Amino acid sequence: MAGSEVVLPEEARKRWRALEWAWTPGAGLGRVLQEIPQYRGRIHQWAWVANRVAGLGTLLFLTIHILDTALVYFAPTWYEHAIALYRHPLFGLGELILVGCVLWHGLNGLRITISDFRPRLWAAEIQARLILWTVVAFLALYIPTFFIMGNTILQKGILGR
Amino acid sequence: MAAIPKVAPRTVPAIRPRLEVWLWAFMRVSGVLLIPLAFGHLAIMHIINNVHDINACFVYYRWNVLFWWRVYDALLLFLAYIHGLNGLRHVIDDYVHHPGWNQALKGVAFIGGALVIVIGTIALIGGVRVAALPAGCPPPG
Repeated sequence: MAGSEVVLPEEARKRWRALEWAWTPGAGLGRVLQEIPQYRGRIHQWAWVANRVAGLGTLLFLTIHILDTALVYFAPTWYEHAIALYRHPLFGLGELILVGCVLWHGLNGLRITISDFRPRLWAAEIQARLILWTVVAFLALYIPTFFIMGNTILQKGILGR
Repeated sequence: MAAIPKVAPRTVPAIRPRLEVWLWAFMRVSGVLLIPLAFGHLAIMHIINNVHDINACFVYYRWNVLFWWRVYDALLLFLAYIHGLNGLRHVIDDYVHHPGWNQALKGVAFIGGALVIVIGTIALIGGVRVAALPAGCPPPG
């Protein structure tokens, strides 16, 4: 019928409005976090969530890392203090998480790039398989890395203090 | 059932790549380049060496004795940080729909990001000021 429109139920309208008018960064984020488990996008969605979280985490560390390395020029003695902080076991844990973030973001990004240039691969079933292969590649690289780095943190960071 | 309006087929002009398309291309190109660059950096700094071996003298020898590592680090700095800032822009656009907050956050991210890149570049060109270290750096070997 001409002039007709689909009217969403009240609850759905409220949810949309909350997302549209996420007028403070915090309020919008809370609503988004609520929505994520409700949107049943299966493994595809979780690959995307992990990619985003890993990317933001890496950007945060990258900012700190560029600034701390810049100390070698601006204040070399402070650089030694900054590195001493990184030797703390808590930062060792952060280091393990960081390497996992970069590894996942890189491998998952490679999947996205390849799929972008071969659009047939964007079929959902093919993507589900590609994501599983990405997880396999991630684990194959991350598990040995985890043990090598964990060993260093244990030997030098915790036992060698 | 709404009637489907009849529309005469028409040709549309080819899309000329604009900023958003270039940024998409940059994300793919920098992403692919960053895989060997960032994974290599992590392997060297966290597996082959570790934070207990690294100090100002380590950076000094890496940048001065082996000059190409400066180029490597410069590539990492620019590619990774611009890639990250553009990613942050997408995240802000996804979650912050209020026009004022959206613009404000993107402005802060742009100015802050530019500042970080400038600081990083100055340090990379200036190198390690060994003279400011109390003990200096002993010659290698």
